[in-house]
Amino acid sequence: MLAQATLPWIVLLPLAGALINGVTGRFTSKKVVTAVALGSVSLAFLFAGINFMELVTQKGAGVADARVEAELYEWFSLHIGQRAIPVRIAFVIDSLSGIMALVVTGIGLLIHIYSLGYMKEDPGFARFLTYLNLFTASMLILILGSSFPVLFVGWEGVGLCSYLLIGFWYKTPEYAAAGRKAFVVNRIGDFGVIFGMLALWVGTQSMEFQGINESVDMLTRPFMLGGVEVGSYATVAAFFLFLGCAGKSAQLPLYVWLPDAMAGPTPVSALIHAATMVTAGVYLCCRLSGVFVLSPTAMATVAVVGALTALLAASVALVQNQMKKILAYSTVSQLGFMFAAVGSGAFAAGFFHVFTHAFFKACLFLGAGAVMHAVHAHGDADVRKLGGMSKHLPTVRWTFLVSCLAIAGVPLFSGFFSKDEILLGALLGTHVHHMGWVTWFVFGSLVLAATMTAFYMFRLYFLTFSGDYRSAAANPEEEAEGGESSHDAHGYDPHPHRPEPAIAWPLRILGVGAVVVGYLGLPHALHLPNLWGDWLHATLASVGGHHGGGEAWIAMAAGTVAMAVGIGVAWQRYANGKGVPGADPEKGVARWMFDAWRIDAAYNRYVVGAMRQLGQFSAAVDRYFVDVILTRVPAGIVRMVGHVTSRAQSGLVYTYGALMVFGVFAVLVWFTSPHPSLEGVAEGNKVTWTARPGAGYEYRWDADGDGEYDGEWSRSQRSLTRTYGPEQFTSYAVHLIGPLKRENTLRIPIDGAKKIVPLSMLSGDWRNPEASTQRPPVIWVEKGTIVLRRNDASTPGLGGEEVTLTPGQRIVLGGVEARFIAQVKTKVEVRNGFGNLRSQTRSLWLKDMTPVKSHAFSNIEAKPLAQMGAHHE
Amino acid sequence: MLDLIIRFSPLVLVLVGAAAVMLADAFSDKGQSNDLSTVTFWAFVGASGGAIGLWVQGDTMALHPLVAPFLAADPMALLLDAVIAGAGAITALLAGAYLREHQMERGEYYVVMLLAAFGAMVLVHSTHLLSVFVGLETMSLGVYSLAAFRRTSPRSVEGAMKYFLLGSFAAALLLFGMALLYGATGEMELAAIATALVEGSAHNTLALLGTALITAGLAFKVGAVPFHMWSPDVYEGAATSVTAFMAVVVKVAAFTVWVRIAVVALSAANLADPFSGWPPLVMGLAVASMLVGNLSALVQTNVKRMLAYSSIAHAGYIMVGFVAYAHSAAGGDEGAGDQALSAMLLYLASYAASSLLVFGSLIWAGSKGKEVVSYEDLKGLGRRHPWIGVAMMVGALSLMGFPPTAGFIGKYYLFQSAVNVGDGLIPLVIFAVLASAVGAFYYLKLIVVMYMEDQEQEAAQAVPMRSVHLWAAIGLAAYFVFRIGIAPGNYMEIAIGAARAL
Amino acid sequence: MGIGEYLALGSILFGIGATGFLTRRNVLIQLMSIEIMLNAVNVVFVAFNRFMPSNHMGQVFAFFVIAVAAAEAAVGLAIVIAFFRLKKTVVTDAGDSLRN
Repeated sequence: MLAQATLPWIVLLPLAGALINGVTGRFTSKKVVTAVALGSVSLAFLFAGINFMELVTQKGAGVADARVEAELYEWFSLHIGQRAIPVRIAFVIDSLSGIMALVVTGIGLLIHIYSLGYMKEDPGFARFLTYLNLFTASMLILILGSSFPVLFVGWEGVGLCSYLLIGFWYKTPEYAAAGRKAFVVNRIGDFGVIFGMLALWVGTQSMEFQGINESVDMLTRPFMLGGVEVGSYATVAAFFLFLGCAGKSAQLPLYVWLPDAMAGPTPVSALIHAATMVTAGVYLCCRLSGVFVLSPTAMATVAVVGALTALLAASVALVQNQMKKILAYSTVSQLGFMFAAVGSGAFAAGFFHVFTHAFFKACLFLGAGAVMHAVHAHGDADVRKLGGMSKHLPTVRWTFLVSCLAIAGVPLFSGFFSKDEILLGALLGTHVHHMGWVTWFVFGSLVLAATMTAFYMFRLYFLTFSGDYRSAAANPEEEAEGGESSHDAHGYDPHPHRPEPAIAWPLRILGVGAVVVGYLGLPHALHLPNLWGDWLHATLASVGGHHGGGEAWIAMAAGTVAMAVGIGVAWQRYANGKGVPGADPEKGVARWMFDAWRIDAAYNRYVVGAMRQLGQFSAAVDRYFVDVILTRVPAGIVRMVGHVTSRAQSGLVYTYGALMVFGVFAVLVWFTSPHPSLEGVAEGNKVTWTARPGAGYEYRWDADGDGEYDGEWSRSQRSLTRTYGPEQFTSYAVHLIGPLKRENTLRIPIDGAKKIVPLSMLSGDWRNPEASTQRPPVIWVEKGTIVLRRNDASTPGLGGEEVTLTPGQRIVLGGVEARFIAQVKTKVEVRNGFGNLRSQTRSLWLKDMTPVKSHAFSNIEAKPLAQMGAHHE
Repeated sequence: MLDLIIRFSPLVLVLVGAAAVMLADAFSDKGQSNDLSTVTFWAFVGASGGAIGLWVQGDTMALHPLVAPFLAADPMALLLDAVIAGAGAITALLAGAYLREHQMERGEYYVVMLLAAFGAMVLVHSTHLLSVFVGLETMSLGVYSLAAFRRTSPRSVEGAMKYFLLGSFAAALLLFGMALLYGATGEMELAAIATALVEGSAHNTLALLGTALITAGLAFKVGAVPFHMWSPDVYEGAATSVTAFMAVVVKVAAFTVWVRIAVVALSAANLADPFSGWPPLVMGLAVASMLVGNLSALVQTNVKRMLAYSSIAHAGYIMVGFVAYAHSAAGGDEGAGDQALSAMLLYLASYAASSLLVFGSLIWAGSKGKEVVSYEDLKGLGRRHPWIGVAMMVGALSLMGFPPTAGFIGKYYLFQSAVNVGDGLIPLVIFAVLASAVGAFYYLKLIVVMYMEDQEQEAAQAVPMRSVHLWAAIGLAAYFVFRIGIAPGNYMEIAIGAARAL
Repeated sequence: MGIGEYLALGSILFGIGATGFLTRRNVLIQLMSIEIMLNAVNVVFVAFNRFMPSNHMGQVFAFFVIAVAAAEAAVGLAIVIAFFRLKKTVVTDAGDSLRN
């Protein structure tokens, strides 16, 4: 079908676009570069739409789990023992990824168009569009991958692209450092993703998402770490995966890269840090919702972390003065909202907020970019120098206002509906994580954060757009002097210019979206159709109690009050050009909030500082130890050996021939001599000895240890089974099986010498409680029997100070299991067709003996000492 | 009759190609010879296509009783036909470029190459001692002639002479071994030999001696230590396009025939026992090859010589897979045995692609008057001529076993099949991994010298040649290196299908 | 005569050939030694066929060996001639420039 045929191309087209532009972008004209980049993303959007329509058709026909699958090829197979589990490169689009694909390609397309206007004077224009295409392709791989490895390829890809795009203007060191920081912090998260992936693999034996979701019950097994249970597989996997999500989606404590990431061009901030990449974490949680719901602990953690992040980031945004910084912290805060929802079991609500947030946040960022472009601000725009933009940039003003209304949660705008669902979900969270205090904490934090959100967003709006333009012609003399005032330190370009169509139209489209898309998820409590929830029903884990009655009204009321309070205070303080902040706060709580609670500084001092010290230490070790002892010396040795071996190559044929003949002789010697390779397998007191087969081999055994061969040469008697009695034992030992399954074998000298059992082989509390001294037990052989003197060791069930034991007997000695075992020996002689003989002797300990009588030991005493000492293994 | 021609179409196409080239050469003037290279190329491509087509068709009907004891047209033969013909195609292109550039172009080269490849293909099809011998000698005689092709160069002729002398010696050893095996069992067909050995009606001492000599003879052809000493001299002396042919086609064919003989004929429990039969011997050869190959390659200054020693080391790695097969088969584990065999075949294919890429880059980098043969000549090449540097780098990385190239996939599957056998082979695998780590040095040295060192100003610099044939060859080789490296699943299935058929 | 005598003859001949190959310095003599080895193998083949007459494969193989030996000699002599042209001698040790 058309959908299936076009599915892989959703990914491959942007990838091809990136490849083409990457290789040829330097040489082709701007028009060609634009056409390739825009064309690939537009087609991808079209194909995403086609696939989405296919899903709609399927759902309309009653298929609950609508999906379209397309496989490219098999990448490799994991061979575990007998099984070969293939890892395929395949793409699946279902209700969850269908929406994401449309968002990524659609908003991505809008941002590509925006970039045409924004970056058109930048010398790295082609490079920018290449990276954007690459990013789109990676994000689509992440979303559409049918198995974890494919998702991980996309995960890493978006991390790489965010590094490339944040540090786009790499010539400025701070920007490059920001890119690096993003990559490194993401890496920490990636470690979590890998471990989560492995935990899921070990738990469910499947890498495909469908497989994981089907065998999700297998994850309730306990996860053992060194014999201690640390939770179920689901808990372990969920924790590690959440670590990864925290890195990618900028949650506490791995959010520090996002504010710095504003160093990149604004379209990057809009695409990556508002609409798509940072939501990959939420997407992963929703994709594996089946795993997460199995672990209440993990869900609670996710919810609490999300709520804390929301609160913390909102508090920082309250006092910032740079436009993009405010928006960045706002993004972190909104992501916290999403995770709080996910952690409370409201996966659909969290994902709904992803959807609405993509529209209004992208619109906000693009609007900020338009303002910056208009006033020729670089890096970021200081709101203290702005103001009055509503007169100069009306389009921007209206779209920005609409998005602010949405993010604040004003009713009838999209943010209202999604935030409402989140608050409701938070209230109902007890069903999932079973902890009442978590519910109240999360709900309270979210309401507070919502209030702050409304406040700081409208503070930003009023400071930027209302009142008068504060940088307009501040010094008339300077302006008259030659119009050099655009980039001076005291203000921006006094004549901001209107945005061009490429910039304006995406703003308008996104603005409309910010209003409209909310209507897909109308609240159930008002008995309005909730298309969103129905659409995602089959793909997300369902949690009960979705349609709470009273809670829905509480949530709606709280959200509305928060919004009203926030907007009201902001109006009072900042509307109409009032309340422009002065210098950055110097001290006190405000300073802490301004510095983002000094979390970054703490990271720098403790984490980065420690790493730096470790690095210096390692460098020293490398210089003095590794380079000399581990590198130069073996290198010298190997080189010497290499010279020696290559010296044999003298160039003369007869040398070569001689060596060949030597080789032939070696081969002949191998084939003309017999190789018995005797091995024995013990079962109780019975041992099966086996010699290797060979052409023309004949065997002769001496299995009873009497020094004489038992039978004649036989061709067929390759293996021999014999039950050993006391006469054939050649040595004794005590076999101790200690704690943590450590095994020790202690030989008992057969000549009667006393052997002390080392305390290290006994358990921690080896002593008899009544003992006064600390003497370990002693064992020896006397008159053919094994005698144990307890001394102070505890030997439950054995009376008397000295105990006589027989081989095969098992007692508990000093807290560990002790078995008395014997050794037997066999010799085989093999003769091959050439008449060559080879004999081999092997000894074996009978570790699982059954006790035998001990009276027959007396004949051991009778053997001369020389023979007894002549045992060899 | 027609049915036979179709079933053996790769062989027939190569023979027809040889005849066509012979005639074309006889009736053409000098200077038109590049067409011969193209004709050879297409003959090989046709043979390869024929092999693939036959594979897809999957005809398993019995062959005509006259042919059946001698040659088999099973999937393994077809897979290796495709590999040999593919390698032959690329080598033909390389030869077309090289010979023309160095002005030694004579039509006989292509005829002999086609006939040698024909001999190699007969080898991979053969199921009878006689066809093994005939195929082996056909291939060898052709390669001896090719090695001496540059008859004005003393080193070339010296190398060819050494190859000829030692090769005939080894062939005589092999032949004596075959005679003894025939005497032991009374049969010459491999399957019948196996039956006789298993039943026990064979004469044991003769069988053992025969096995010993056959192993020695085949180990020579493969280049295992201590039968390896011809290989560095011959590789260094011969013209580079001939070296490429030798390094790939001869090794592939020799390993295949060794696998056939060992897996089919010598599969009896008393001969193939993992502790007392030929497997420990092969393990010893493998360890020695990896050791000597890698260590000697470290100290070489001539790149072709280094590549010869490295190919000895590669033979060692392949023998590890061989040992893994033997252990699995003795333990009754068919699946693991098939996996080991298929890993060997896949490794041969990836080794072929990588070697051709490296040799092709060497040819590319030099031209009439100054060839690139030593590390000195390679200095700075990567920066002066970026595309050659990339080709050489990819080839070296693939031989080293670096993902995502073919060499990595080959080594991965090979070592994994050895690990799957169980505890017994773990020390061997560890040794092999360490040996290939040592091997990384001289491959990386190639890359380092190309990019990070500069030639002295007065040194004569080699100018790369320009030839469409060469670019096509490099492109094909690079394609296969990446294809096997990035998407091996398909090829792995084919290899397993081939191994199962044995 | 039993098979053993023929085998002994073949082995001795083979040994003579091998010794000749390894110890003589003249390329032509080495070629001849190889021919002796191949002929020794022929003797062995035919001898085995005599005592295991179920088919004629031994003798057929001997024919093939003769043919191949002839071809080998042809190629070998061509190489020797090329060698002689360049080095002006047929002493094998003259070819020792390729070495480590």
